[in-house]
Amino acid sequence: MPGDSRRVRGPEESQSPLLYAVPAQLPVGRTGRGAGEPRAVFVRAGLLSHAAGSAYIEAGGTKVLCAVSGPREWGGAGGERRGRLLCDLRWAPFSRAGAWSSSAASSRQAGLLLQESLEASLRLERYPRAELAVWALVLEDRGSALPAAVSCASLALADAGVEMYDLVVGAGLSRGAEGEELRLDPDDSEEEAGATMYLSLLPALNQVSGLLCSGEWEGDTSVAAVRMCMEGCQRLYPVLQQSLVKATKRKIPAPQPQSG
Amino acid sequence: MAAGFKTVEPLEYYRKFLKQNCRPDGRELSEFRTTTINVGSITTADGSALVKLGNCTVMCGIKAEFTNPPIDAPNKGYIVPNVDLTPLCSSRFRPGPPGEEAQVASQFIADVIDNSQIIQKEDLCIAKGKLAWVLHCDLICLDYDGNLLDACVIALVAALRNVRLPSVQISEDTGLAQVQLSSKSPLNILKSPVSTSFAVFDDTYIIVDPTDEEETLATGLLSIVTDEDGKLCTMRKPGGSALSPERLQDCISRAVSRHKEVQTLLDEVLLSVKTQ
Amino acid sequence: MVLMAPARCCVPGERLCSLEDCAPGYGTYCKHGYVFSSLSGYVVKRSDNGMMPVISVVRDTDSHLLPDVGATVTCKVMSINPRFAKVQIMYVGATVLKNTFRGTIRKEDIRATEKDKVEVYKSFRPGDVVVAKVISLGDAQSNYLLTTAENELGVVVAHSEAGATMVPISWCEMQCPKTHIKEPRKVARVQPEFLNVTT
Repeated sequence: MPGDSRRVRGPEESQSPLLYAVPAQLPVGRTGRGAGEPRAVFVRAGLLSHAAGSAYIEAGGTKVLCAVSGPREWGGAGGERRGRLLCDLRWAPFSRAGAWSSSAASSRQAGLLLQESLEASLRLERYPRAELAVWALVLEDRGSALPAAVSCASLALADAGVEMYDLVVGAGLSRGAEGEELRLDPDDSEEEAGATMYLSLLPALNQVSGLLCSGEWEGDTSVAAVRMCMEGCQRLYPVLQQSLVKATKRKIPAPQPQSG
Repeated sequence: MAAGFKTVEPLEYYRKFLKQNCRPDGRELSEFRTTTINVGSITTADGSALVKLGNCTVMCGIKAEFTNPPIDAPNKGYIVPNVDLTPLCSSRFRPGPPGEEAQVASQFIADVIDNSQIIQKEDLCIAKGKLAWVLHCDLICLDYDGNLLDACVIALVAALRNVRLPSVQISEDTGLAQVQLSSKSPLNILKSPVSTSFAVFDDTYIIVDPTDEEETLATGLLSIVTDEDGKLCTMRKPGGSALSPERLQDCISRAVSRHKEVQTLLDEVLLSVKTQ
Repeated sequence: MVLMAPARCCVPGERLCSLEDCAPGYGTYCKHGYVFSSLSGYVVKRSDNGMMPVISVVRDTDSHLLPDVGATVTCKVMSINPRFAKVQIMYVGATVLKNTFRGTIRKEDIRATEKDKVEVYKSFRPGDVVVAKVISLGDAQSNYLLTTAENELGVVVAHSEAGATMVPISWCEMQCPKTHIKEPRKVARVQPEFLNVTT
């Protein structure tokens, strides 16, 4: 990057060695799991010491870490009785399988997508004049990073003790280039190959809080895709709940039963 | 009541402990927090390491790319370290371009790399004047609890020893590189520097491995980087209380003994990764 | 008041009971005639005699406690100017706040008597720890408004120019134990039963 004086000087530009490598033969069709089967997931809440709430999700190879700070006093524009939610979603420079991308490049859009999905679930009217900040970092992106980030952020908010109507669970889906087979929880090669859809759901209330599609989607396939995503979310929900319960028991001692 | 005293008069609270030669978290003045190292967890990076010093967590990821060698040194490659301090690790950092602390840490790591000769930049050159490797070392702090520099140095060394680069040949006909992803080889690591940080309180007490609170209350900070032969690579003392030569010598001896501790841990971890 | 034991842990969105059985309390919301939890914490059911039991979800970390009107708060003075003092609220009652809030003590709210003769410089200095009462939550532009116009409110801990902790000698003066210089402050009168004599 030309002369960013705040960073250690490096070369002007660099290219990934993958450009010069013989491309590996990708297997046609999915191996190891069914089309409607999500990858195995590891979830842990309440692992960072300084954040009000935190969570970590590993779905296949995708690793996302999220921290929540607040509610903090917000010196914002007048008369707001509702709190404000700020989201920031970043990819680590080494997180993508292809080229290295500088930390300096971050997308505002990713943060806004996260905010859209999460805002519907939070009871922000309980935090007047306060600001909640969600910081999410994708450490490794092997497909479906955005839905994993949504679940992770929601879990971190619950771990921070923010009042919400329900946890938000994210699921991703891709339509393979060959045929119309829908694949739940795509990995990075499947994501790039065809059209994708990301959905975030509030499972207990069965309400969709966010939907992002890219590529061509039409009629019946899109309805089937939405349904498949919602099923994927419902499957992930108990795992998130369990990790939240474990984290709460670790963090907060149970109230002593009194009589009187 | 102790929590109240701590918030209102933190310095007095600490002084009470230091007089008894210990610290609020139960450690002795020259004791380090539990160090854990985990190597090779990020598969998209060419080398990675996660280091935890107590609560302070740093993740280092290294990605190697091709570039033209620098004009003034056509037989050398690049190593570019970058320390990222984001609001994720602590609310004291603001989002945006690297702040002062991140810039200082990045420069410190760059100095450690140069002074300790951990890797010969000539080894990173593939074809003189035409093609060389650039190693982008990104150190992301995940949880900031003091003593960032020590954790960063350990993470960097562990990640560098974990790096596997594919073999490259320049084809004579086209002049383009040909990369063989299947055959990977490690880097030639010459030295393993280890950093030890100290904090000075009230010009009298010197404590090792300060936590976040201890760093804010300290009157002086000191970081010493040593390598295997007991030699000094870098020393950093940004102002603060003055130290007599005898106390400085004590610090250096503690740094040398810390180096041995970290070296054994690092060797153990890297060996277990190889045998997997 | 009877607490049911043992308390079970719940997550947001979990259905607790029907509206006919319990009334919703803190940390819950109602929908479709049922009470749902909105926090991850422990379910607590309180039943006062004769009235419907109230179900609520508690988390012991009261880090989201907000100062209320009439609450006694402990704060640290950040800066002063001839019209007011800016403080940072650290405690509400006896609980420490995780995130501090900012407050203002106006010149006319420092003392109850002789309000026009008050000088902020002679009542507070930056770094003092002050006990005050909240009089207003403030609007969007300003911070919490506090008052120390009572005998029990005012400076409790102050450091002298020499750096030592000062000892109060009257309602308007404190003395440094090292240099014996007296400095003017608006001192809080601590009730005798709260005085903790340290050996």
